[in-house]
Amino acid sequence: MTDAPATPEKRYGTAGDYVQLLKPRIMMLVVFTAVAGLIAATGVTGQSMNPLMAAIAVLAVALGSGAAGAINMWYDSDIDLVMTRTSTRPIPSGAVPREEAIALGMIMSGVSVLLMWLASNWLAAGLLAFSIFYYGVIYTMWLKRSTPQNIVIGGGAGAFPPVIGWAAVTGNTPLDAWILFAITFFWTPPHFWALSLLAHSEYEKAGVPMLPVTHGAKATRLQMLVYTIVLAAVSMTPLVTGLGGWIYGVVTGVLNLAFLYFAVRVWRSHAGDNGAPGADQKLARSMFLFSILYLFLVFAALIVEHAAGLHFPVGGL
Amino acid sequence: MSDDGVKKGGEQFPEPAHLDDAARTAQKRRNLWLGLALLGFVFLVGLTTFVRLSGSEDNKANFYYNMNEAGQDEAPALPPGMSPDQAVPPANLSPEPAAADATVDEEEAPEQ
Repeated sequence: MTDAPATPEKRYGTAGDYVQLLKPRIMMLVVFTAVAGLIAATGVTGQSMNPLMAAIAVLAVALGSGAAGAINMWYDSDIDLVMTRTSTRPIPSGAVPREEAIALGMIMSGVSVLLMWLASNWLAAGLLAFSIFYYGVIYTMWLKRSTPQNIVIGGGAGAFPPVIGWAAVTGNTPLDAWILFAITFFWTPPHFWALSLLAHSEYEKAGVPMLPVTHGAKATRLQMLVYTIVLAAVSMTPLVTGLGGWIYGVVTGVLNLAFLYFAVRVWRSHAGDNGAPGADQKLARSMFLFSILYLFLVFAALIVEHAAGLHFPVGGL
Repeated sequence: MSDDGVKKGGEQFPEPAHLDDAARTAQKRRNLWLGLALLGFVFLVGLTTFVRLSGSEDNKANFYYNMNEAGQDEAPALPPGMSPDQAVPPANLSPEPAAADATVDEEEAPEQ
């Protein structure tokens, strides 16, 4: 179990503290993948969306992501206080009271879903509501503290934005939308475990059953390699369905080779082991940073193809 | 509440919270942000309503405007209770106005 949280020092929260509560870095990635889904849907189906409505739909995704972040920080404030990496967050640092965080999260959830429904359709709004519930309740309140597969199953929450973007334009979610879901889903384990290899002692202190804590660093490195191989295969399926063209194929192919290179090197290293050399730890950190670049560039390639009229399909179902 | 700060049952009301300057400033700032957020929300709801009602929105909500677009093999599913006849675009929104005009011209042409 977690240590008893110390009483935070009283200070008055600024606007910046409330912004931190919304996890802005995650929000940026969520918005980016949602925009990619929206643009890809327009390019593939030929259906269009009023630009103003599209902008409001993207804003709704951002608000929904922020709402889920606030709910997560509200529930996890006890373990955030224990871990050094998260102890400066707005609630453990005493800047924002817990009750304000949950109020903000709940109100923003409602506002985001309502805006999405007004700007697009009930399917996109329903998916947004479910993804907030998935992250705030299924992952944060249930999976995170109960299973080492927490971030594998919980990764589904972060994989919804491109599907929501697609649904906002077309009102349905065909195979291509779920391929974008799968790319983000299989990307999450190697991305997050690379970080948890570095911070497993912190998770252990907080009582969070991350894979490196429960099964050790060696098993985690192997799982990272397996998920990276699966990701490499899944990320090439847009070439088969026609969602991705030549540009996507070349960019993603090169990125997959680089990601596999990192995964193999981390697998062969001692990253996360007790007394692991600094170079190995640095390697895990490099893989974590590269994984962010990977997802950004894969979705950027899709955006460029479909937004700039550079989509030259290789295949198509 | 009576003027002496006593409830009807004789129970004392709690003393009002006295905020120091820093707390009052923080509260005012927070109130300002909340007010702006509320205004923004009202504006966005108004904007989406206006765009939807003005009919300038061209996404699937106005589904039959997209029915004949190139690349769309099948017409989108009809809403519950709507028959295919009802889904036909009104005459003044026909995708081939030139053909309709040609028919009128033929009818109005003098016989030879």
